[in-house]
Amino acid sequence: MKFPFGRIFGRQHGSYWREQKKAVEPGSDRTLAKLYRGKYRRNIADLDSEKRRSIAGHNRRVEAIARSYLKASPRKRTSLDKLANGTKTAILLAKRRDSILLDGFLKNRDRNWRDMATRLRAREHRKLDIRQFSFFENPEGTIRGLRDIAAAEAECLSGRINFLDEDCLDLGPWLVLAVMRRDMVPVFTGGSIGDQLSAVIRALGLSTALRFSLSQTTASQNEIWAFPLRSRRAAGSSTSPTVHLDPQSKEEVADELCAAINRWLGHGSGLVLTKDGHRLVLKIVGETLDNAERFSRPEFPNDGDWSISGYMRRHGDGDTATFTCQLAFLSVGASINSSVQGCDGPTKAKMDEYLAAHSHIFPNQMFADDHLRTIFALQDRVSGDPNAIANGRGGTGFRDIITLFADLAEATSQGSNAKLAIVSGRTCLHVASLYCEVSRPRPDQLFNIWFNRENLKELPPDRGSVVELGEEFRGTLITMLFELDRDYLKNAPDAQH
Amino acid sequence: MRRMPNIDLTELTKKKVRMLTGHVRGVESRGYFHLDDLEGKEDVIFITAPDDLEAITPSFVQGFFAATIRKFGAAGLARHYDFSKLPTVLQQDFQMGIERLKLHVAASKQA
Repeated sequence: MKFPFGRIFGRQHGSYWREQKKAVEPGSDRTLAKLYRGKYRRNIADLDSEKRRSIAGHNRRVEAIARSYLKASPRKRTSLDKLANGTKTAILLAKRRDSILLDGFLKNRDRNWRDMATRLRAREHRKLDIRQFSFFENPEGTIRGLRDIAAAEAECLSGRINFLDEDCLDLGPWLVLAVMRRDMVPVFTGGSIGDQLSAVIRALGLSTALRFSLSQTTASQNEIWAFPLRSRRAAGSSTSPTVHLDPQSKEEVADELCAAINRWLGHGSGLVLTKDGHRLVLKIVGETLDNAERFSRPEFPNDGDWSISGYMRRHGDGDTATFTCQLAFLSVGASINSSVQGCDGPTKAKMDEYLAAHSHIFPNQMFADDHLRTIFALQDRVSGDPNAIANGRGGTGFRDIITLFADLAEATSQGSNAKLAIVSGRTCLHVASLYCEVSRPRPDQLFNIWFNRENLKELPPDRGSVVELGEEFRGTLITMLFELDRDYLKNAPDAQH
Repeated sequence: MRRMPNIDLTELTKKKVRMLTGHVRGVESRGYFHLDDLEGKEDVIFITAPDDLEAITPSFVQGFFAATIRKFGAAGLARHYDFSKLPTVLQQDFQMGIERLKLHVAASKQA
């Protein structure tokens, strides 16, 4: 397969995004009412009387909503009137869609989600300003921003989102937003967006998933080399009887990512991954995505879905140029905290001991136990699959991810510009490169990372490494950022041209 | 002369992918190749791979060989399986997965 290589230029200021147009028949409010009836009215012929009664009730409700569109039309104009008719129709015809992420951000979303007829009466328009959209620097604000977007989708007739960061600070939340948008009614009509950020979104092919129609940008000198968004088919959708014997999409994606990194390195320094480096990246991606498939959706064991994306961007020119790389992996569904609770009895006893010993260090946090369970789950031989441990296998997935990050962090110019965040449930863990160093195991050693300088289970994790999230994130996001330095790469001991 | 049994990993890659990964893929591949039967009947089982196979992850190896280690131990696995037809890097991958299985066994005994 040819590697889809994105390279684009961004402009300095004044970009905006708009909701992508929907291919729905444009029309008047009368046509809209007709379309609504046609879409949701159900046929009651050939049904027994009990079912007829229930469907007749449903149809009365459909009729009432259709009439409300007609009633609303002579009144004052709505913010939707500025939109193309097709988009307006798409919004007003939309219904709530179940969504693991949106349902996690908003408690009782199924009950509190307002239908569009109700919104037409209230006519609420909401403007959201999203700043510092990053789980590295601002995890609380970022999760709040995602929650606000989910809330507006459930309550407003229309809205705008202004993304105020000039550049992409963290790819992770963008991956989350892209997955959320699949299930969102298109109430957001547009907003402003940073130029460099707009360039990244375009390069990654995220604009389709985000349903962003981006304005044209004037060229800047910053260049982006992208590994565009890849997602596995929907969880539980496999129909093949040999699903695990067939070549896997995670195996293909890992190979494509290696090709991408080679291109990144080639542009950065004329290097390519060594044979060992190539194999290392293959294995890490394979293990990370395998973890996601196995544990993210307990209702579909071993058939969860995932998304992955990444890019490299050059800053500066010539010999002083630096290269910022970002990679993010997302699986939607069970958090680490919840899946690890399916572990075997002896592991659970050890986990409870760990919780009892250290929960006091988070006195003001409601979810201290969740944070500690999430840390415990990263250790070797801890798995949410009790059979795997009973049969002497499994429970080593995070070892490889964290070891990869340690290697990448070592390759940064100062080491300090490498960041790794693991976001799951109510917990955001910041994995400092120091913890990676002290936890690096020999091949014959079990891997343990306890988030303290001494890397001891008996000591509590450093408070700064654990951030409690105000909203529940239903899934696991692993997001990393590292900076490659041209000189370091050229002088690396195993550099291979 | 009797042919020695051969596990050809091309049947899994189908020349479409260049790595093997996944715990469950390892477990199911074990069933697909009937390793339980072969281990009972045969002295030595050869493993071969296509030229373009570049890496095998520990999770795959753990799924593939956990039952063998449980039944025969690491020494028994070494007697039953011949990896010499594989490139060195793939031999290392199998070795790494087997090391992790041995860690599991050791840790289970300690517990």
